[in-house]
Amino acid sequence: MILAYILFLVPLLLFVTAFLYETWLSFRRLRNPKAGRTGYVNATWEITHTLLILTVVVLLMMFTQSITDLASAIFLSTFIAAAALVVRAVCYIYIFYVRTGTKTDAIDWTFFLSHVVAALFLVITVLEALWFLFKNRPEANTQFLPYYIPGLIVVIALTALPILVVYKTK
Amino acid sequence: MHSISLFGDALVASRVLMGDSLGFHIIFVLFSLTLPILVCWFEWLGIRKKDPKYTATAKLWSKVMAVLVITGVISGTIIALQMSLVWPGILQFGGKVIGLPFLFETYAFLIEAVFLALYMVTWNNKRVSPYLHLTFGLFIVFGATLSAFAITAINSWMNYPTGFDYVNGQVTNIHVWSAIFSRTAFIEFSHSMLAYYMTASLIIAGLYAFKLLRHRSKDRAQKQYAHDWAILNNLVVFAIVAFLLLFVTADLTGKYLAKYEPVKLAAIELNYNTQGNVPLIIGGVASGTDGISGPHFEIPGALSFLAGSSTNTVVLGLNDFNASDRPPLYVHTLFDIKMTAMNILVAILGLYVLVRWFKPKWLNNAWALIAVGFVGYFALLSVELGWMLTEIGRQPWAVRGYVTTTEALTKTHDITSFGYFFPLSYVVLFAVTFLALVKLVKSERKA
Repeated sequence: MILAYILFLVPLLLFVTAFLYETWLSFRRLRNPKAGRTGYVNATWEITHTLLILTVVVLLMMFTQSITDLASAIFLSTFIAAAALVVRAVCYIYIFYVRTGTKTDAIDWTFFLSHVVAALFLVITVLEALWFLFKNRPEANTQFLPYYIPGLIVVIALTALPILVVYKTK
Repeated sequence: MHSISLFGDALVASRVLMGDSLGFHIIFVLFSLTLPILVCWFEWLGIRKKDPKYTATAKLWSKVMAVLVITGVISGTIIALQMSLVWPGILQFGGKVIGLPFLFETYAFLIEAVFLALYMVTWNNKRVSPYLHLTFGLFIVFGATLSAFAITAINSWMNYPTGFDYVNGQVTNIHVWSAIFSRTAFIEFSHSMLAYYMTASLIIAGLYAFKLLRHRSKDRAQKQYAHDWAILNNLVVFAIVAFLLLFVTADLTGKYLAKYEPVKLAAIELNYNTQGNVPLIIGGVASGTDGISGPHFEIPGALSFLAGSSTNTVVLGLNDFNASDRPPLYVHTLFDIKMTAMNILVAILGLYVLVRWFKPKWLNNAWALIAVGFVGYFALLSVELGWMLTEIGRQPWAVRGYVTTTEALTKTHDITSFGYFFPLSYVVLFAVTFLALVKLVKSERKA
């Protein structure tokens, strides 16, 4: 049971750290948009989102017997965060791949605010999920763990060095 | 039960959200699966032929791949959330059986994401040899393919649930591996992958065709465009190979449907009665309880032949199933449109082969280029319709035979607020991605 919690809390913690860093970068670049893409993350984008997906999938797969109630509990906050992530993606592509000027405009502010809204509602989602788990103590699908954990160790071993290289290059 | 709210019916809103999300996401999926292969292929040609033009092409398309991944990741995230939060009934029922591929998908996603980032940042890095760089690219191919298999295995299980017994309302005697590596999964996976490869390569080939057409470089002898012609030919050959293999998987799919999902096949072919020597009906729409109206024609015995390699094969008809278990019969029209698109595709590919390799005097390159310029979009239409047939053809079930779509729906009504937001946001996301790609290609051309 504790292992089930660890499996979703660890990637969650990593995601929150990375996402807060990105939120800070999106705020910092408002003062210096001339820095362009160098003032924000680039190649790390995918890895950060992967952590979010890892967290959500592990959380929901571990507690499928209670998923209907758990889904209702975290539904609104999760989808508001998801909507903010879509807005963030639109702004990201526009700012770094489409726009030619370097002057700060409403899109940059929207970009920053989308980070804040996403972060806020993701935190609410986590709190709602933890409260649900604490209150209901649902049974975890531990039968997957003998398959999942060895594979996860191999995948982490395979990707650990590339992750270090990517972040170092950034 | 679902309710009516200010924004509409929860079930309808959820279907709108899921359908639009899948329809949008699939465009990026087929590029995410095909581009890594093409990029690796071009990079390998560059290394083997010591031709920097191929390497430059690989680099250009890897940049396109990176932009498409940004969009694909966000739409993929939304779909992952939808599968769990909008349709929790699916996992509540089968989570213990089919939850593992969801978890494996996270491995695949992590491998793909990390190696994509590594691949992009190590272009021109002198400490990374060309073959090592190519190996990073092959890991992207591996991650993307594994991810596609995991997701397709889940969808296959929804179409034909296996790997468990259902006793007294309980899922027991679970065999996770037989649920994942089912016959359905292999047929659906191979068929969809080949369709993605063919579609993406033809759309990209179309871009090269338009470029060559615009510069009026109809003659291969023009050295300036020889590389573009070479890339175009490579892409078309790749697509033709995928297309020929698609014939095999399409045949397997037809036979599989006849045996394991007969009601879906009966609805697609408007076959009402169980019998042998069943014709293939082209055109027409369902009329009343067992009729066909509108212009149509029949190929005698063809459906029986496709279902069992003999015109005597007995094919189950719709009348053998309860009306409440049948999918909507407009799937027949969707299938007709899909087949029309495929026939146009065959004709265009045939035209291209004729012009490029047999060089008839009465036909020149310009016609072949115009045709190839558009052919990819017929393939894309066919892919979209293929998934619509798979999903709509399974209705009214979410997990066939066990959980209906209505039962699988979330209990919360908040979905109605998002059912229309995300489709609209996809339009904006698609537009901005398109602009980004146009700008990227233009800047690369200048460089």
